[in-house]
Amino acid sequence: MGDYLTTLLITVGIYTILSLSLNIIVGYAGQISLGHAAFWAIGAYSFAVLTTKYSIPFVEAAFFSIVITTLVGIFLGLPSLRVSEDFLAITTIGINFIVQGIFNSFDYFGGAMGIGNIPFPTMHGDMISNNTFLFITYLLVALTIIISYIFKVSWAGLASFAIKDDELAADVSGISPVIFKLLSFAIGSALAGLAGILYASFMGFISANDFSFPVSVAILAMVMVGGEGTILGPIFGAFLLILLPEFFRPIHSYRMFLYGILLVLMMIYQPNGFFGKKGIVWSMIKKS
Amino acid sequence: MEHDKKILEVCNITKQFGGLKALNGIDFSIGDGEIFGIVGPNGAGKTTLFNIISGVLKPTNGSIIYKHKNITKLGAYKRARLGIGRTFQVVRPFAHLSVEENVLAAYGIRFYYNPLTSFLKYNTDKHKKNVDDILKMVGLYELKDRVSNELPLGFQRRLEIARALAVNPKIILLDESFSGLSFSEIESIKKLVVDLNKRGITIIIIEHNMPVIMELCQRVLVINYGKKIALGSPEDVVNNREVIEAYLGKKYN
Repeated sequence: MGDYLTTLLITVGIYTILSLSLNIIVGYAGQISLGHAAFWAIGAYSFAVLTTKYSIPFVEAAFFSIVITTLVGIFLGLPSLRVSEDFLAITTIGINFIVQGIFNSFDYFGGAMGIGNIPFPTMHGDMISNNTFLFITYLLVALTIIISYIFKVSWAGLASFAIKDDELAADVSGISPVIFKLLSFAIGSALAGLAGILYASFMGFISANDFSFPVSVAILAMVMVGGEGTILGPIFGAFLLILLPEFFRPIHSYRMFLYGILLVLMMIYQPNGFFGKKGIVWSMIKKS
Repeated sequence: MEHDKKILEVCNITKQFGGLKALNGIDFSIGDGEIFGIVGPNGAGKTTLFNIISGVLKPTNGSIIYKHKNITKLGAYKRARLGIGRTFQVVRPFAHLSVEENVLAAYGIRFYYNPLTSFLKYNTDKHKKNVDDILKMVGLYELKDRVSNELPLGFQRRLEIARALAVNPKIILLDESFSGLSFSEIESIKKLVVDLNKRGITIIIIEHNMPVIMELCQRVLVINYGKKIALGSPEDVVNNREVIEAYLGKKYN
C-alpha cells in the first residue's frame, strides 16, 4: 500500500476511535462535550513525556498514558455533575482551551515547540512498517468497537441511557447519576487516550495546536452526523468527514467550514444522524 | 395506631426555599403495610414532602427515619436501593426507551453496583421475564415494545408505577397517579394499589380525588401552607373544620 493511503487510513482509524469514545460520553450518557480533543491531547502528551523525558519503554508508557488520561477524564467529568446541557458545552470548551494552553505554555511540555522524537513501535529492535502500524491501529479500532458494544448492551449502558433521558427519574429509580456519568467519562477518555498514543507515536512529533477547539468540533460532528448513541454512526462519521475532503481536494482548505455547515444541516434535517432513528441510512438498511 | 411497626418517620421537617417556607415542622410516621393519604391545596407542599422523603431534596431541618435508620443524608438512588420507590405527578418516562427497557432500567438496581454484573447484558430472556411479570401486573405487557413517550397519559402513569415496583420497594410514593385519568382507569389503578398493598407494600398517596382517598387510605394527613393541619382517619379529617375551610370548601359526604 502506498504511504499516502496508509497514512490516510491510519488517520481515519485514529478519528474512528476518537468519535466512538466521544459517543460514549455524548451518545450514551448524554453529556455534551465540546472539548474532546483535550482528552486526546492528554493521552498524546502523557505518552510523549513518558517516552522522551523518562525513557519509559513503549508498552509501559502506553499503559500509564491510558491510566493518566482516564484519571484526568474522571476529574474533568466532575463539572458534568453540577452543570448540564448548554452550560456543560461551554465548560467543556473552556477545558479544551485550558488543556491546550497548558501544553502550549509550559516548557516541561515542550511549549510552543511541541515534543519531537516520540518513539515508533519496534519489534525485535527494528521499527515496524507503516502497514503493520496500520494493522495495529485497526485492531485497536476493533477493540474500541467491542468495548462500545459491550457497554451499550450492558446494565451500565442502560443506566447511562436512562440518565441521558431523565436524570431525576433515573436517580429515584436507583441509578446513581454521579457513578454512571463519571463511568462514561472514564471509558470515553481512556479510549481518547489510546487514540492519543497512536497519534503521538505515528507522527513522532506533537504540538498543542494539534488538539485545538476546532478539532473537538470536528469529532463531535463525526458523532452527530453518523448518529449519536449508535455504533455504526460514529464510525461512518469519521470515515466521511476525513475522506470527503481528501477525495475532493478543492474543498480541503475549507473543511472546517464544511464540518460546520454539515453539523447545522444535520441538526435541522437529520437530528439523530444518518444511522440514528429516522436517519436516512438506517431507514434504507431496515427496508432492505 | 393499628400498625404499630413504623416503617417511615418524618420528624419535624422544614424546607426553606429562599424566603418561602415550603414545609414547616411536618411530623408524622407511617406504619408498615399502611395506605396513607396526603391531601391539601395546590402549593401546600405535598410534592416537596415527597421530594424530601425520596431524597430528591434535602430538608433545611428535621430528619427522615426509614426502618429505624436515619436516611436524611442519603441520595435518591440509595433510598431506591433501600426500597423507597416513587412516581412523579408530571410523568417522567425515559422517553427514548421502550416500555420494557424503562422498567428494566429500574430493575437493574440489582446489577448496577457490582462491577462483576454491571457489564453483563441486560436484555436477556431471564431479566425480561421478571420485568414482564411487573408489566402484566400493571397492565402494560401488550405495550412493552412501544417507545414510552408515544403512550397515552394513562399508560405513562402505569409505567411510572411499574418502574417504581421494579426497584423491589417496601414503600411506594404515588404522586397524583389518578389525576387526568378516566373513571375506568381510576378504578383499575385503585385495584392495583389494593393488590400491591396486599403484597405487603406500604403506600403513600398524594391525591386531589377525595373519593379515592376515602376509599383507599387508612389515615390521611392534611397540609396547608407547609403546615400539618390534620391527621387521622379519612372520616375524622373530612369533618375537621380547619380542613373544610382550607381545602374541601364544604362539608364532605
